[in-house]
Amino acid sequence: MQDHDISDEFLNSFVDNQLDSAEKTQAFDTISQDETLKDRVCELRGLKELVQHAYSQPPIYTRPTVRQLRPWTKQLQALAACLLLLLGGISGWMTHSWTSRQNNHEMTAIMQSTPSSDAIADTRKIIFHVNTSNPARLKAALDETEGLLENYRRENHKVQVELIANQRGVDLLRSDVSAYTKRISVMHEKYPNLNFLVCGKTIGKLKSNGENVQLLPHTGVASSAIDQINKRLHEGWGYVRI
Amino acid sequence: MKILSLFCRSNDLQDQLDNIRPRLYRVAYSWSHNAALADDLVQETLIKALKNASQLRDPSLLNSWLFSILANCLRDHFRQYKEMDDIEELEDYRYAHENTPENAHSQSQIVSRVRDAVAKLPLGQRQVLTLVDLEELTYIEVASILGIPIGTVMSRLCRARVAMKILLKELAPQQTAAAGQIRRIK
Repeated sequence: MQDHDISDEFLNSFVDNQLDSAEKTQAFDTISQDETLKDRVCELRGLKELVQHAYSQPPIYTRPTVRQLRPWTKQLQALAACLLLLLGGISGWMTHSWTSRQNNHEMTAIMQSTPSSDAIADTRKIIFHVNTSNPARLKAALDETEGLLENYRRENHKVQVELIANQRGVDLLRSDVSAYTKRISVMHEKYPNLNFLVCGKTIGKLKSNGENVQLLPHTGVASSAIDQINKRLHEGWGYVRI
Repeated sequence: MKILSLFCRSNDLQDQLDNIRPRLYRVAYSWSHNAALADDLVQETLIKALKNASQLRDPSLLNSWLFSILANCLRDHFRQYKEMDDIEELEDYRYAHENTPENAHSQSQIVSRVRDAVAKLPLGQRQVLTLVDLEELTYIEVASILGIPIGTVMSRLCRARVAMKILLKELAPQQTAAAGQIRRIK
């Protein structure tokens, strides 16, 4: 068998160990007698080893770390959502009792305090607002104010309270109309940190209607209830509407 | 014992897949020359293998079976992203970086040269060459994996090796004139 008789396919098969025993023996005999064939086989073997070497250590691909959701994460999220809902429900139910009409208070507290100020951090400042002559509301206004002052005093915390009345709420502080003259006087004596104010505009309106408005002693007159409330809110006071 | 072996089989398969994974990756990389794509292909192959484990009747054919799944995955990939693979851009990228120092350095490294040469082969030849050389599979196994006649395997392999010889010569670093003048004096 001469060099030109040996095909590339045959040599490839020889190099790749694809020949059966008889073919291999024949191939060895032929190749050993022919230098050119030896070179060709050598070249093919070298090529094969080169390819093996080139891919012996392929570059390792590291996947970007992705935070995988564990299988139970969805259930956990659902549970957390349920708990949150339950918490919301309970807190809503509890606060409802404080703000409901049935409790005869109808109190809307909008706490717009700015606790950044040092003064506010030391002294709590709250303005109560009453604008109706409904006896229950007026009583509630005094009850809430007194309760608050008493609580703060008991806990030895500083508090500054103003009670401002406008529209029909001024009846609370009119000596000729108010049913709580004595109580307000006692409160005034007892709590030096409590001020009673009426809306100047309301008083002016009543006077212009011909009413003789007599205020309780120590009752201050603000230019306007809205202005006073607005001013207090800007100063960081808390606002409670009765 | 047979029942026990049935229980153990899934665990055995996972162990075998773990062991063969680096080999799958090596072949996938030699086909695609893209580490991320190779990793994706291997992952997909293993998923398909686990899903269709019952189709493998003869466990001794596991390797061939896995490589045929890998070949299918690669074909599916090219089919899926046919419009996105812009050959012209790839060629531009190659030629645009031909004379950079980095490229000159990598050209001097034999591993890069061989990989570049393999990458330039047509996919059919590349697959046959790597399966035969890296995995040392028989021609019959390669024919079965790629779903082609054994004669085609032999002819592709032959053409691939002829092309490799030429490409490796082309990619060999050119000796500069200055380098040629250096002589040993002792």
